[in-house]
Amino acid sequence: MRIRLRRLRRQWRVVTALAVLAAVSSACGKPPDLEKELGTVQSWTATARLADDQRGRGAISRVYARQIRDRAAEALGQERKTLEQAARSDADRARARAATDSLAAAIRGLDQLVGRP
Amino acid sequence: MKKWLEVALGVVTGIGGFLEVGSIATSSQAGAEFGYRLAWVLLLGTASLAFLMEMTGRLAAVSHRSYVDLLREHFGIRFFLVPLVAVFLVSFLVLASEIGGVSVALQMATGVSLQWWAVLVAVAGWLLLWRGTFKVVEQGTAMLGLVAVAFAAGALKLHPQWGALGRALVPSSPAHDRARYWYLAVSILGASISPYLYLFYSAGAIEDHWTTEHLWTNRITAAFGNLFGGTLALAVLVVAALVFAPRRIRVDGYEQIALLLSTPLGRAGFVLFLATLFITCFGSTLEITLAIAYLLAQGFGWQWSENLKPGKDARFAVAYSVVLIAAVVPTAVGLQPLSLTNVSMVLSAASLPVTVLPLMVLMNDEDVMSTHANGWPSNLALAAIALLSLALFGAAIPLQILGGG
Repeated sequence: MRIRLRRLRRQWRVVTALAVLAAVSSACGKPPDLEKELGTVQSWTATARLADDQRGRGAISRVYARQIRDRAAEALGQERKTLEQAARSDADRARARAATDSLAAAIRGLDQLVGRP
Repeated sequence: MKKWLEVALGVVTGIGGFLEVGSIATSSQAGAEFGYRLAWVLLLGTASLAFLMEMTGRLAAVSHRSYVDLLREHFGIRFFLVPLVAVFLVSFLVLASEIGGVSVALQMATGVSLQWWAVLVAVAGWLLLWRGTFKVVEQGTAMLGLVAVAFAAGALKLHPQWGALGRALVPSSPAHDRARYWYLAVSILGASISPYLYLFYSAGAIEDHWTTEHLWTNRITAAFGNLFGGTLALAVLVVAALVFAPRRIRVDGYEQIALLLSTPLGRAGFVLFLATLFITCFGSTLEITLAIAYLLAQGFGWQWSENLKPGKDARFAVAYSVVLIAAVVPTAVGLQPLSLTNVSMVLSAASLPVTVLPLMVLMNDEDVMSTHANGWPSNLALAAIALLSLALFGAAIPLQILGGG
């Protein structure tokens, strides 16, 4: 009984160690994926533009449009850092800059409608 | 007449059960990223839940005991601890994300931070559970939940391509982003077939004193209630496919989802979206809190009923009070509600075998079911659902790592 218990404990430790290893390697090993990050920036740009358009038509409230603006600004701050790590060449950096500039312009558009923070 | 009223209320309740924070989030993510393509998963989830609810309802109506009660009695306390712990943990996470959903709706409406709202939502929920009866909780929120029909109106106004939508009901796999596609498929199934749904339904059958005379009501409620709820979840997916996918908007936060209905329905759509998110998530908050308290009370043999005064079933009342307070913590400490929702839906899917596999045994036990045991069509469906649950158990965690980002 005791031997069985000990064996079970050993197996449990191996499974736990493997799970931790898998989690750590998946979290730390990969550099950020440029295309994925550009997709996120593009998505927030489109969101801010849609909110701008809908606020202009009176379809959404000012309070809500402000929250979209704040979330988009938060995403812009995060993505600027992540894209810096993901860009490997000058061409990558130019694409990243164009994407973040576009998001910044969309946020400025929303700012004019809902007021600056 | 009374029977028809019961059936109508049961069908309406199906919306409250089906459409909640998980299905709104996963359907809108699926529509935004893959268009109509994941519609077949909603069909599969709806059909699976309808079968599971019909069976757990029949089990309760025939045996006059809930599924959890029978699970402990039939398999013994040592086996029972596995589903008890798994369902408790998963349902707790789902409950936390429902509270997050209600709080997000209130934040979007008022601008006041969702962390403050989470506490008020828990207090309001607790008061309703403490003072209300099962009927108030079940039917009150379900009737108000009819506001979710706004998604069907929004989908129709956007003129979906019916042919393409019909073709999407046949399973397919995309050439790109496969991990993300299957991750979303698992999330949708987790949102559709969450264990609390059929455990709550089974306990509800006992609360409503169902007998074999209610088997017809049970069948119609399970089939049409879920069909109704599943259709509305499909409407969310269609609206997201027509509003977000062409603009390449990915749903990374609940803040984005409110733009779905304001595009086809204008200001009314915006207000209806907030009302839908608030009511369906609040209804689910009450249902899951009760489902967890039922699970504990039935599992440990305590006195339980939402229809009794809290003093008469004190341990049951303490259980739902503690669970509700504890479930506020993730939102109150600032966890992202959408991330919490996604993780809880995937874990829901992974936990299915522990409640689906024992049902195969119980539904074929003539001592429990007498002449109402499963026939071959029900057994075939249950075997298919059991296989699906095992596949979800194996795939859920790897897909969370590969496609969850």
